[in-house]
Amino acid sequence: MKRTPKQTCLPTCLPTPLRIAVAVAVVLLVGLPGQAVAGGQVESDPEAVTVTLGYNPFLSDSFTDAPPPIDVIRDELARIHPDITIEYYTMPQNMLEPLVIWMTSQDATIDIFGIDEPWVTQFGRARWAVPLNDHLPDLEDRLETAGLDSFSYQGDRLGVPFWSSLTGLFYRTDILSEYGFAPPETIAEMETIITTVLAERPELAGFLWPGARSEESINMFYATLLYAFGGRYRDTDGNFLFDSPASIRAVQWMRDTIGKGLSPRTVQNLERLESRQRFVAGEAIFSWDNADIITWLDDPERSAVAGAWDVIPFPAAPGGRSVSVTGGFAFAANPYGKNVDATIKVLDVISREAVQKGFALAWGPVQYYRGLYDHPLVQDYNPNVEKLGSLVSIAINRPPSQHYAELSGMMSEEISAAITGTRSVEDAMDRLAQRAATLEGR
Amino acid sequence: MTSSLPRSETRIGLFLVAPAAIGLLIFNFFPVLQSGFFSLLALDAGTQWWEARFVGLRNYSDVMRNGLFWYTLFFTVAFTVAAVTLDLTLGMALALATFYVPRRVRGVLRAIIIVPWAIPKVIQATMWRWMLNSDVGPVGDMLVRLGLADEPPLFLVDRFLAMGSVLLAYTWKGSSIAAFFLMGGLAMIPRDAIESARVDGANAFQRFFRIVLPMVMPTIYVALLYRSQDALRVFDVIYGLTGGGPGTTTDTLSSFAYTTYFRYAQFGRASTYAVVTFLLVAAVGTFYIARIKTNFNFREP
Repeated sequence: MKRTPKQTCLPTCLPTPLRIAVAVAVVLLVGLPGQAVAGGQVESDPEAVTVTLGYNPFLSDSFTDAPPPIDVIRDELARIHPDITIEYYTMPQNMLEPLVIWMTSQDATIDIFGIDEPWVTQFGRARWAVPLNDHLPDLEDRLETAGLDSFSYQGDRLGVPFWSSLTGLFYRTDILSEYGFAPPETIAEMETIITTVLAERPELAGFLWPGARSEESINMFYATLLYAFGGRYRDTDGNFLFDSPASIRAVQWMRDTIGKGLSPRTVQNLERLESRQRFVAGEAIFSWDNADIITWLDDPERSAVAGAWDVIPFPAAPGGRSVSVTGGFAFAANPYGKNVDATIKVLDVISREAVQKGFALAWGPVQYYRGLYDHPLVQDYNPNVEKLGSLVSIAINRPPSQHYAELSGMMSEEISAAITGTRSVEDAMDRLAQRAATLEGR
Repeated sequence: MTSSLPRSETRIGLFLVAPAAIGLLIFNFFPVLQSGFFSLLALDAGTQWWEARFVGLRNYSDVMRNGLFWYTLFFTVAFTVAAVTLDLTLGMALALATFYVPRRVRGVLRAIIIVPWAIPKVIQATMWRWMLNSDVGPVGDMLVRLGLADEPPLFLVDRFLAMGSVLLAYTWKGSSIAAFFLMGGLAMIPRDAIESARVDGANAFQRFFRIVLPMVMPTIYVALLYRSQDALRVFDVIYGLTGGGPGTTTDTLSSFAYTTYFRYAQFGRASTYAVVTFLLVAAVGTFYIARIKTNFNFREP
């Protein structure tokens, strides 16, 4: 077929700038893929696998001079499984929302994701995490059983814990010694200390605790007080005891701390970060908090109370017992992921001493790796870890429930209503008991 | 009055509208239909929709028997009425002010109006959470300094103050959006009409109610529709400011649906809340659009 003049004209009849642009585009289109194939690792190694790991931005943060955990994971992975690389998918602070969307649509965007302790029953029931029992039998030897139990559902180990928290009562050693007090062993002693100190130093807050409804912390604080006043979660028949006298006393005491001026009025809406900021700023005598505050408290550049604090189990009333409530995160495997075998290998690496140590050095305690805190370097980076020993021995989980996510929401709603006076304590706890019974019977 | 369009023009019109219409069908109507379908199933995190048990209207009857739902519905509607009233009243005042202040101040005033509109809702909530903080917030401090309160009020703890606080934070942005709409409406009023009324001896009050308000009414209806639908679906501000607390005092239908869906993964029940919210928004939308139609001259094919 004879070419038309229009066709032959195309390369030459264009204006010069356009011809240059076309030439550049052709070079880019032809040249770059060749470059990528030549220089890219993935294409050059047919065995290479990339595993995506989704977690909030903290994984690339270090609170000490140790390398951030993501670097430690990558280094250890390169050493043990050089054919596997990790792509770190930075997720928002509130990771639950995208995770629920991904899992309901059986999405494979991420292979490994961070799972918070309260989500475990929900994810376990929905089969949104690969049970690791058969894949990683060494987990039991490496990690403390209590840590693995926190991320288990009906016997299935769903996560490799890498960080956990234990709650306790933080207090100012300088203030207590100035006024001649020993650390309180009972709630009454704690009240006496606060009343005495505040009489002379009213600018201080006596006792801080996070009472905002929007956070899980309020439920953990309630659990602490429930046991402190002699209560427990369920009776022998398995019924929740939210309306028991001990439970009502626990919530009433929360309210009384505000009424008596032991706690500032604002604790009713205080979030955990706000609560700890005030304690770290030296504005309070006591604070109920998680142990993960330790690295912050000890940093002289960011803490006004460095070297002037200690932590003890939360005191109990007569007939009650001190408990520490657990929390924390683990890494779980997405059952819809494309690289389940490689994912399991990465989780295996994360459960090893080198990575668990990396977390301990960069983030501080607590990790569940057996014997980790006997290591001199870990002790060097965590000089206060011994203070947590008394908390580990009295640790309890949150209320056991197949529907914990919903139960948790109900608890925070009703406890918030009680402490803010929106409802009476008895009414709120009665309602909570009824709602919980309906939920469990569903 | 109607006019007929040439067939080719109709085809071009349909062609141009098609991408938007397809987008609407996929992104707006499909989720609505899906939510309607899911609301008829016992669907939770452990069940795929094709395996879920069909329960008919049981989710709806469960929702109707839930006292919290009725409280939340009441609060959502009351919040909408109060918020839209404030939005439009303050918005109109702001919009009018931009036309009557000296020319040099006009730009500054318009910039002030734009700022709340431009701030994302989550940041707006965080900002107001700080402003209303009883320990360090400037609002409580100012009230104490002015002698209006002995100590900073517990804005986010007392249930009535918390309701007022979410309304205040919402209206701060909402009135700016309403002002935006109304500035456009006011700009379209011929100055001759107002000047003629002035020459005829009408005072400012009469000019506003007899000339300005009737002429800007179509814009008010559009603003009313937009603000009402936004208020009925309010979520971000409340989620960031009070988290629905104290207790469940400031929970809205949207926050209920969000919590049920994302925190509890009860998709069937959450879809029921979403459908109820949709029906409420649709009813309000239908009502307003019916009113608006009489105020606009739509071009009929």
